[in-house]
Amino acid sequence: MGRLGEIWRRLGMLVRREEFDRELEEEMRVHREMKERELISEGIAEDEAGYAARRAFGNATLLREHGREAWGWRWLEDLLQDCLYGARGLRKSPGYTATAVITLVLGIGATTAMFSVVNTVLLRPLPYAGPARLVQIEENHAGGTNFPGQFFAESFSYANYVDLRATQHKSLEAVGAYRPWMFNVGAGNVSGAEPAQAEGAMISANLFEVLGVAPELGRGFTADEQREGADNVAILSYGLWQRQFGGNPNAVGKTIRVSDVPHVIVGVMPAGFEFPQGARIWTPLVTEGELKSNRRSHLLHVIGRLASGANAAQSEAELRAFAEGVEQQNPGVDPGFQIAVGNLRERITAPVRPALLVLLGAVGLVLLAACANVANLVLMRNTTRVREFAVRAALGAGHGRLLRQCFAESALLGLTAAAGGVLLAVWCVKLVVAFGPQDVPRLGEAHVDGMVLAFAVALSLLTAMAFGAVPAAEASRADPNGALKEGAKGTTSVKGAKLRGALVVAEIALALMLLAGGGLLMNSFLRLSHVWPGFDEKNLLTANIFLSPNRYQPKHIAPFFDRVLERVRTIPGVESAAVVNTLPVSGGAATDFVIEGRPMPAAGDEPSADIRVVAGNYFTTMRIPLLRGRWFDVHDTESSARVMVINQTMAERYWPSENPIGKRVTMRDWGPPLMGEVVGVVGNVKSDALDAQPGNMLYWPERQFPSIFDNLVVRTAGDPVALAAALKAAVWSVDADLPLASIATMEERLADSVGPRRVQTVLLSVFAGLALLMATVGIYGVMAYSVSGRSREIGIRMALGADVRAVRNLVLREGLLWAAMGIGIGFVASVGLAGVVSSLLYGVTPRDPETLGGATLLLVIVAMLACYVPARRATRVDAIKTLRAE
Amino acid sequence: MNRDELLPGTLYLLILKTLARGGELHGYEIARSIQQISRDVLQVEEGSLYPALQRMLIKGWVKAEWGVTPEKRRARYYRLTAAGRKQLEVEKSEFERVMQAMMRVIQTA
Repeated sequence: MGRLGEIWRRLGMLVRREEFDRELEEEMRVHREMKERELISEGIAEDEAGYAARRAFGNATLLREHGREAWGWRWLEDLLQDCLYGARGLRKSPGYTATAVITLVLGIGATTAMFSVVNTVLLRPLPYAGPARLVQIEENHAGGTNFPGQFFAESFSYANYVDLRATQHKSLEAVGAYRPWMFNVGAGNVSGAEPAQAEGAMISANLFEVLGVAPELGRGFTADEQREGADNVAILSYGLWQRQFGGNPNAVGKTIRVSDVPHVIVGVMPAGFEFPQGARIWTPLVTEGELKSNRRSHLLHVIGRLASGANAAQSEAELRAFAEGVEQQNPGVDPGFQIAVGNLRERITAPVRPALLVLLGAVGLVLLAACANVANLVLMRNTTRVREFAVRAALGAGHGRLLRQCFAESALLGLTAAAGGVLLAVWCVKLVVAFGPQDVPRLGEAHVDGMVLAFAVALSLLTAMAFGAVPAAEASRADPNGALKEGAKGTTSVKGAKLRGALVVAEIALALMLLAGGGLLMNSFLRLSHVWPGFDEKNLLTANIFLSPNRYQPKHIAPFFDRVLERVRTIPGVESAAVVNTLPVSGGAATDFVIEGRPMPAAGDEPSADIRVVAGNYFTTMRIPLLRGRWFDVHDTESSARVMVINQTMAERYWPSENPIGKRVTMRDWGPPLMGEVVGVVGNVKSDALDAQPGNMLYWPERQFPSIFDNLVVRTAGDPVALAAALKAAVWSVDADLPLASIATMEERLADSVGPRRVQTVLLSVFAGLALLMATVGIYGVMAYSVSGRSREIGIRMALGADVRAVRNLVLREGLLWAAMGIGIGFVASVGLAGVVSSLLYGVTPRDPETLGGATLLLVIVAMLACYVPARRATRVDAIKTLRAE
Repeated sequence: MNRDELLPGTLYLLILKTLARGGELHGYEIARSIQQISRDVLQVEEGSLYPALQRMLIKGWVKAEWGVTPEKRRARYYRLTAAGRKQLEVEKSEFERVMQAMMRVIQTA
């Protein structure tokens, strides 16, 4: 009660402050009057009694302040006073205020925007129940190809998943699986809705339970629906439900054509639910039948929910033992089977983490540069206020009080800038969301929220501390004696000049680091855009087609494409047309293979190759060069001998001194092993990404190895985009219900594939530009200030006969000395930090001398310009005038 | 804190004791009472009474109410609360402890 009562009383006091003041004042006055009266009654003269009463009472003002202080709100009142005073000061020097605020707005805004992206993508928990306990369970292979940091590095085979589910694990509460899949979704009951291709997944019945998300409408799948031959059911995303059913709640129970088979809609997921990323429709994962015993095709992604109290490391240890057991029971089938367990959020964000952290670090450097810049501004302003500080100190303001006054002013600047910075950040985040790369997980959710706001305010206060500390320390040391004696003119102490110099040096160093980083990324991007993708990307139109197995049996696929290609070729402006299962720079399926007549490779060491299935004149349409042998032709049919074409890398790697034509290769995965004869060797095509080395690749003709996922590739004479409508019409003339998805030119696809890199490069370049601007403004400001402070010295020098050149060089020398120091430090730091960006580079080393040299040169030129202008002004100093003014 | 010539920390004790004896008193009465009873030995800088009274209000040891003096003047009257009475005992025993200790030091040959 006591403590609480005290707080309550203090609060009450805060509200009734004026009343309190009045009462205390009155009480004290009454006291003095009573004393006075008593003294008079003792026979003391009236005016004498007044003095005596007052003397006995003590310093009334001070005592009143002590009384008020007792309530503990004095600091608040002082703070308010400091802020009001600071605000008045800032209003009075608008130029200074504007420069400082704009600098800080840029720094805080950029940092806040970057933070809100990082917060959304990397930090915010996944929007599922108990997200910390969600893990991704990955199948790894000792000695096999692992792609650390890649999306869903390694997935599970059906059989391993079935075993995993069938075994009890202490560390896991539940395990679920999904297989990303493509669906052709028919129109619902909304008139005008078109058939559409939708990404989605086949999921285990418990997947939504593992995630802890319940359907918005209807229900999830039951275990029975995972059986082979069960009724066809589907769950729609909120968006797809809106689109195909206009958000009608009656949709549950209705039938929709999914990949040409009627499916009953059993549920609709809540808005915003998207797992896996991009999924809009889900069907049950059937783990029965042929695939159930397959341990070699790694098609499933497995997630789990940790038992309470368990962590990922424990789970991984437990599952490793399980994996060993599986391998012992199935020796040699899928050798080197291991399991890794990792936090789901971390696994999902792993691919984008390095770039985001580098960008956040970079924007932090920009903020530091902004701090240095503003610190310099404050320092310069304070030197003109030396007298003011001295007067205040002389009147009794303590060291702490002056310090606080300075911080209040800084905080005011910081908070003003925070308001502007948040506005800037809101706008920047919108820009990043609109133009950012599509495949950054959850980027679309990025926005400025309470967390980000708190960050911005904390950041601005921290910033205020950073740029306010040095000037505040300087100001509070004000020596009233010296300053008041020396006269009105602000004087520049040697120490102050050194301090300002040091800040400029820091700014230049920061700018160089960012310029070097930005330069390296720009250089990488430039090199990447000149990379030969292995084909001629100009005038190519592409479109995505999914032939659902329900509508097209394997044997119908090639004839279907024959008809489509025949129609497409008749479109005016089309030069040639072809089909491929996976377009360049988009990854794709791979298989292990064995070469006939060679010793069997050790288990786990089998070489693997990307698989491409083509129809039509794929190689000539793409202009992929034929190096040896022949292309596929009309004689390669379902009934003729199986043939394959391999790429240059595979030919050189496995037949370095032989002719691979006529050799036979067996593809081990994807159903029963298939053997084919190599009939041709073609040039390498970038299969995963422009910045990845092409690996082995083998091509099959569609007739001999049909693929349900395909792309049309059309070479046009003119602008490919103009033929999009005609292409659609041609396909629909063969099958009117077939959705044609993501129609895009090949150039667009290549550009998209480097989208994240482009965004990184643009952002880092913008940051570097900001830092350069700040360094320029910083060095210019300090030089200009120094010149005006030294006008007397310069005047004397000129009066004594120094010529214009000597004066100019005097000033230039000072500025360039700072620049040189900054560049030196920045250079060393850039070289030291090079490793940080190395993962983002392509074709340049992190210490690329050209880039570092270029950045340095740019900074030297800018620094010289920034120094030259004040130096020229110094030469115009009128010696007579300055000397007379003293 | 206390700019009086009292032993440090004893002002609370004096005020508490004065109020315990006198019931409701205003500031001037408290000051005069302390001075009179101590036969002018204890010189309080009279004004310093007021910050002390404020602190005691916060602690909840005293309550204040405006009233009218016999001379028909408005004045703020203070009286002890239950917590104030308890505090008086605490302050008294603390003071006695210190005094006894001092006496021991002074009287030990």
